[in-house]
Amino acid sequence: MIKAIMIINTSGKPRLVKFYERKTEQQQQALLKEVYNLISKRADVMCNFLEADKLENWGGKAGDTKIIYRHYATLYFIFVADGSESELGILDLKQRLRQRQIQTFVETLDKCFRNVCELDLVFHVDKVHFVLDEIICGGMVLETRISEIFDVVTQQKKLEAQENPVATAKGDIKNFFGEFGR
Amino acid sequence: MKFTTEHFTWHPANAMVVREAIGVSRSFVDFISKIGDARSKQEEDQVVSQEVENMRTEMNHLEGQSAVNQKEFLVKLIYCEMLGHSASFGCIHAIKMTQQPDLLTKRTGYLLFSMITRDDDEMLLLIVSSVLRDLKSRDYISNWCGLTFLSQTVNRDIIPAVIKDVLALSKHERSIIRKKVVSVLHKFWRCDPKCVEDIESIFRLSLCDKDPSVMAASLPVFLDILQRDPKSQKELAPTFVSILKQVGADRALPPVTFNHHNVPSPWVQLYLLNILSIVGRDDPNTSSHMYRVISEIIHSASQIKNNVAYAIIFECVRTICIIHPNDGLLDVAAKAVYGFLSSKSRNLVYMGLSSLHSIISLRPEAVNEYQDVIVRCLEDSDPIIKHRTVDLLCSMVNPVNLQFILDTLIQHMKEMSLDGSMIAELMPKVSHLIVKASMVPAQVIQMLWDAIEEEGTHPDIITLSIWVNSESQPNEVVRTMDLIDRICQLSHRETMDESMGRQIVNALIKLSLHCEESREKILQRMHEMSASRSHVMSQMATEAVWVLNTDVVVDRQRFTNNFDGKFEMDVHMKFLEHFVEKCATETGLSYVPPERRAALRTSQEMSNPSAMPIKRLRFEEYDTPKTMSPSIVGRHSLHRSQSIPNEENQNDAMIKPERAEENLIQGKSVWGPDGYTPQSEESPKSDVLPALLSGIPNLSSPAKTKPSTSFDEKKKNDTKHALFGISSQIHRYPETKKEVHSNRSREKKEEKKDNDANLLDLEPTDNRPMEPTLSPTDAHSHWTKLMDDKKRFESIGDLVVVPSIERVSGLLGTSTDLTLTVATTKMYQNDGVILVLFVLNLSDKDILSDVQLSWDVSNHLKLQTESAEPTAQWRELPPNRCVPIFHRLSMEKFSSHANIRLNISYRLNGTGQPRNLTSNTPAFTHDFIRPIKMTQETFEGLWNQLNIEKKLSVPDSYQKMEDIACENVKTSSIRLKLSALLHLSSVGGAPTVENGSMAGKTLDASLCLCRFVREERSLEMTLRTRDAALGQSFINDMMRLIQKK
Repeated sequence: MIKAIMIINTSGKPRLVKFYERKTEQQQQALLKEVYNLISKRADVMCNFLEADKLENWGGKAGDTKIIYRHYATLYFIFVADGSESELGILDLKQRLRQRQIQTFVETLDKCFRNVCELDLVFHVDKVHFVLDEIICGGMVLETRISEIFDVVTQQKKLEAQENPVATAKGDIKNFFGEFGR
Repeated sequence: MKFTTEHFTWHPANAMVVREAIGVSRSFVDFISKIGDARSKQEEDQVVSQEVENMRTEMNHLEGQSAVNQKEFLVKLIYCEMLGHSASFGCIHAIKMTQQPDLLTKRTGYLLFSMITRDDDEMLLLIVSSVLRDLKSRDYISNWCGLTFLSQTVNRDIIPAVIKDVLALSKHERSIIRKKVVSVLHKFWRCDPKCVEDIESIFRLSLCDKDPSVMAASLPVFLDILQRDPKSQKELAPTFVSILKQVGADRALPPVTFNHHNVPSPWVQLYLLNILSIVGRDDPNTSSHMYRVISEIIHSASQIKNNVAYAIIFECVRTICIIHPNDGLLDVAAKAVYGFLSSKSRNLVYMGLSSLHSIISLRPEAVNEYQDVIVRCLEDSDPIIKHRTVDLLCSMVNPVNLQFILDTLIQHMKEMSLDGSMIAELMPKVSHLIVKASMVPAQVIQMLWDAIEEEGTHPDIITLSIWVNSESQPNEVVRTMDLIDRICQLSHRETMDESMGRQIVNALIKLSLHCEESREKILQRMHEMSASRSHVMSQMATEAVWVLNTDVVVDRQRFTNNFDGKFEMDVHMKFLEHFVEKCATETGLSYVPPERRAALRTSQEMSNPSAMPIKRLRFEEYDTPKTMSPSIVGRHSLHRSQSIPNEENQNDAMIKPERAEENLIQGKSVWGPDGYTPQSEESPKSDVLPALLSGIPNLSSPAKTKPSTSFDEKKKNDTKHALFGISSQIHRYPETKKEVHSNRSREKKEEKKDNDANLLDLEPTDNRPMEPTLSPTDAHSHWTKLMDDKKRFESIGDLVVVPSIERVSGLLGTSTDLTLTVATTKMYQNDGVILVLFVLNLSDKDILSDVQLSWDVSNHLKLQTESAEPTAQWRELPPNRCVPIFHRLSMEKFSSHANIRLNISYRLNGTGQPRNLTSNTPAFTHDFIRPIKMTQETFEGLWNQLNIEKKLSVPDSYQKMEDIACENVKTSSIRLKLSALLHLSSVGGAPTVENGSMAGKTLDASLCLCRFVREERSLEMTLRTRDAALGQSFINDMMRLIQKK
């Protein structure tokens, strides 16, 4: 089971935090800090796994908590999982997550900024959450047919846009979700 | 797409562009850019706190603003929450947003709500109406929103409200809704497996759903169920196998949507393999049906080169190692792992090492092929890979490679000298290997010797080296003299920690046996060390001096090489006889085993009460309560003979850190080292119970009554202890041997705790000889006392606080058939309850044989034996003999109907039909409750924190009866009586009849507060706890107790 997902940038600022076990705000912040300290020390050539038995705030049994992370440009994608989860599977998932999230705004924003990928997360943290909720449900990976649900969302948006063009956010949302439909 | 490694920077101009491009408001962009600009966490916190303040005021004017603004407000709150600032003030706004028709706003509302609430939050009840509306909606998108929320945040309280609608949706025509329903039910099941009747059959239906995505969603549920109960889904094994077969062959799922990187539904495969490994474990038949499909999967996955295919291969390898082994598959697995270990990717190497770990336990010879790879991994720059390799090395030790592995590990340790945590991890592994090896290879000794010869070696390595070197003396590698010199040198180090110091002292004592010439030198060094600033060191050195000065004739052969595996124990320790005799003649005292001292004392008291007390040392940390009768010896031996933890441990057990509320209680426990310390009342029967209790050890537990342990042997054993208890090193070996004599070794462990106490606790020799069990006359007189006691108890009820060793309940139940009598009593300790059964043969001439005990204990209770085996064939019971049986009683779950039923069957004089006698003892909630003292203020504070409240009304008629019944107790306060009755202590000033409060806690430190107020015709009691079961059963027990009066 996945215990938490964190996206932290290289200077330690959280960009997305999702815990599947209930933790207080203080515990969450402490864990973020601990995990960041562990990971930022490691060179890129090292492996993407960490055994995190010593993470104070997780508690769990020895050998039961592992961190699977990946470093992309300015971001660390971090999954904290228990012993039963497949490390490589999660690594693969991460790759796909990144592709899904990142391609969205590239066309529009690439002209203004050079590292668009992080900005996506900054401005659309809610949507990234929705994507995650479809892929991972209660700590379990259920990555089937995400396309269908986003097709549906896109449809609804189109309808709303026809009825009331002002109330809807700009076409980017369609664009955002349309991307997932592919 | 380009990636740069440059940091994320902000320019106002750019911000404007962003704003236009993605349609967010200016204030939002400002907020984000301020956070982005913050250079430290403190600065960021400041920005966020400021924003939180702004938002608090802004929230009141949100009404009527555009939907986009309202949603943006939620996103800002999500931000605050993510940065560690509580956004719970936005809760109500989030709920409002969930009622919006706009889908994204609705979802954002739900998202924020599930981020800021905890599972036990009462706010959850407020959102139920929104969720219900969405679940009931005809629009399936709304259904989907509601279900998504429920799959993330739910608690027991709201399940009943929504379950009907959720189940209705399980037959929805759209598969995404059915899929969500499975996830929601999974979450419900985790909350409470019994929330829905027959929930498993619903999951089984989903497993067979026509849509593969619903089937896929049900797999994690089954995995979860299996992890909790591996045996539960055996009959589904063929289903799982056939699904995996179809998925692997890419038939079940449409390839376009499920196929990813050319691997068909990878996560479905991963879950299925995981499930199969649980189902097939230790089950050859089920496993045999899996072999084929696993080999197919592993084959098709190895055609593809990407992470997810590797993930499947590793999962296959893991499964192969867990299920009943198959040679062919193991070959395939070993081959796959070999491929990965030689890969360039560190991730694959890491995974390969982990899999190899499980393969070699099944196939030790497989390791040989990997030797090169493993050696290479050991030199890897990545600490995680190194760590894994070291783990692997330790698990693949055999006599051939032992030397190599030890060399490698020690070399590794030396290199790691700077990384303390790594050494700390390696130390136990290395020492374990050394103990496991029957001979320490000369090369290893040499290496360790070199290590202590060098400067700047890590202290842990020095400790290890001293240990190995001193234990393996004499040998050809290191001369004993050199070793002693070096160790003496090392002992001068400034930075010597305790474990090294202990090792040095032990080593020197031991080496002095090998090298007579250095004895003086060692002695002198020990003298110097005994002046050490560290108390521990000085104590150890002083003891060492004592041992070195004692001319004990020690058989040197016994202490030559501890690693040669031929070490034998002389349990009788004949070589000490001379020493013991000498001590005995010098002091004029002989040793009296602890369990006999009480009898001795009692008989002395009886024969000549005025001769008391004999002058002796006191070994108690605390003063005994004033009202106690002077029966110190009795108490001590009582503790020992029952394996009750000694006083220190009891006090430790009082302070359990897990419960936060424990810290809140400033009050001190009323149950001191000697049990309940009465506050003001004089008890009328303080003389009875000590006598009763001092009798108990005489009737000592059955195993000890066997006269096998002779007097002298006891004496020797004890001296042996005094001598070698000091040197933990030498002592360790004997102890493992001793485990065989479990009874004796248990005694030993007790005795070790107060080692010096035993040495000094000698009785005059001119006493009458001890008897292993109580004589018939004594037993009879004790029995009469017990019966007397019972009468008293009946007349005054259980109301009196008995100022004795522990609080002891009255005789709770006696049953008799005129030959055999069973009486029960409970003894309350600070950390437990001991159930004592007295089994008495009343007959003057008949022997009871084939006595057999069988217990029937309610589910909620647990009975741990402290003496006789609970169900085992017992032994004979001679005429007029009384035997106590001790059991430790614990409550697993509170319930008011807990009962312990004992059935004894026996035969008269070994002939005739077996007779049966049954005795029932109820267990009350208050048996597991202990009083605590606290001030009125603390009480009030805690009272408000406890959420479970139970009430009880006691009509006046009951109390009057109670008052009459208790006349002979010189107290008039109901509260006092009640508190004693319920094991609670009164809070606040002088007791009044009108109202008051009492406090107590359970053995595992859960609070229990009680308050009562006198109404016109009744006494209204209110009980508060955290645990509903505890509250209910306590109130039921109160009712029972009060009605009994």
